[in-house]
Amino acid sequence: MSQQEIERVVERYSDSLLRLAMHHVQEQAQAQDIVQDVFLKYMKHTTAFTDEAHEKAWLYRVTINACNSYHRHWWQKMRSAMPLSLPQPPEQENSLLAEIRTLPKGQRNAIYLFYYEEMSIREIAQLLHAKEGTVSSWLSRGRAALRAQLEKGEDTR
Amino acid sequence: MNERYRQEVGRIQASDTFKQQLKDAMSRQKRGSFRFPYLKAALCTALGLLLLCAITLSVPGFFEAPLPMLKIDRQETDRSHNLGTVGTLGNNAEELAHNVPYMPQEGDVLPVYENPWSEESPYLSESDDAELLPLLETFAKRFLLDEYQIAHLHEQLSTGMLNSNIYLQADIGRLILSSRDSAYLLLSDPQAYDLNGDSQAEVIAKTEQFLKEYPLVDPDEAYIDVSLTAHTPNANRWQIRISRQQDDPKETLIEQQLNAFQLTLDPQGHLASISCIAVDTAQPLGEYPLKSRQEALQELYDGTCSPSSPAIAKDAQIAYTEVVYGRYLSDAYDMPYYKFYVLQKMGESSSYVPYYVIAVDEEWIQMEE
Repeated sequence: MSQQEIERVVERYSDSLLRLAMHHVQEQAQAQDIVQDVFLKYMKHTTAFTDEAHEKAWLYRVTINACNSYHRHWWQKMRSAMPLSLPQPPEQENSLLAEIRTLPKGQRNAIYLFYYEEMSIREIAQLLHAKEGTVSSWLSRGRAALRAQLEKGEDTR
Repeated sequence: MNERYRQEVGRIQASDTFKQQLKDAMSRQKRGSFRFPYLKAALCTALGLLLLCAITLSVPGFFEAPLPMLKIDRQETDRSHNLGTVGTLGNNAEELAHNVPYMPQEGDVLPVYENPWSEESPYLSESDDAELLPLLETFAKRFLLDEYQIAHLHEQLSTGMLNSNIYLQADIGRLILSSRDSAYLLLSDPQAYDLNGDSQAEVIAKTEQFLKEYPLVDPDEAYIDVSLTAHTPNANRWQIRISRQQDDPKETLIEQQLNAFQLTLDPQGHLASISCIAVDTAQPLGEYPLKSRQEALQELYDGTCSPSSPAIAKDAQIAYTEVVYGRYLSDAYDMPYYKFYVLQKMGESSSYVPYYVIAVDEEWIQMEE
């Protein structure tokens, strides 16, 4: 792979992959670790992509897998099991993203791909290897859960 | 809410420094260099490792072991399958495609589970009622059987059978253990449910109707998969798998493979029996990286597969590939396999034959003589 090709792929996808990863992990450093792993896997990928859509789908898919694996990583589990550091201050961001992270994985990915990346339900279904009906259901359940959480948050404020 | 979300996510951007780090890391990988260019980073890493070692040594059990190697006994790897199936899969490739919930991609991982009973005798008829009855009763709940009687197939002859000698007799049928984590319900009235159909869609529609009468799985959550089990001159015979749909397609695959009901039809398309597999998936051995389909194909041609014969020619037609769980090359694990449908000559005609290749990357497989 040429240096020009490395420049292209990093400039083209680093923002999107970082955003996707931030739907799964809270800290930007963790999301950066994941994105770096994905790009290194991309370097090892030997089969040619048929077009840009294929390349994009591969990168998104591998990012989602990497996020899933990240949570299973031994030191991640160890860190959550053993409070070695001081308790974290309460989350400041008070954001929609923080609420989205509490949703099941399928709903998180579907929300990002649909509302931010503006992909169609069919494209998301292909990317996530799910039925279109399942993606619609994730979106609808995700929206409902978010609405309920936000309303609850407003009530307690 | 939508606009707020877009604004919030839009604020996340890869900084120029991070982008440069990515480009540097990728360039280093391209050159195949293993040098550490930054002395400070090397020193920090070394210090971190020392600290980690100190913690690991001081707290027993603190360090989680890496993935264990999967030991496959080469003596046991040559098994034959599909015994007892009348008919073949035929040679129409289009009939083999079915509703697979998830096809792993390159770089993917899947869990492997240890079979806790692999060392036990598979002949359940040799086991005591006291051991088998609780297992049967657990399955009775899965089959929604409230009332039943405990009985025995053969009071006198009680050895040498894979099935349990003890069984539960309910109105709907007879529940028998086929292993310690699977059982089947032999229906009393083989005409009771007609699930016959010319197409998979027709069989799925009838199965949905059947689930409303007998909700083995909540019909709203059911994942139904109909696949060809035999092609005969008169009709196709279908196998129906019913499991619970999950949010994550990968989890749907695991549920479908290891926690599901399988409906077997008689040659006329009536429901003959329902088997249930219930593998404990709470504690996987680990998430194992998978080899690529291309690597698995090479093993298929080399004969590292089940069955290991007849051999497969390089130009053999392969209609369909999927990933399934099973114990094809080892009883010790429930692990993922690539399932290839290969067109093989059978006398005058040809038919597709399923072959299974271990899907876990060979790095984690230890073949034992």
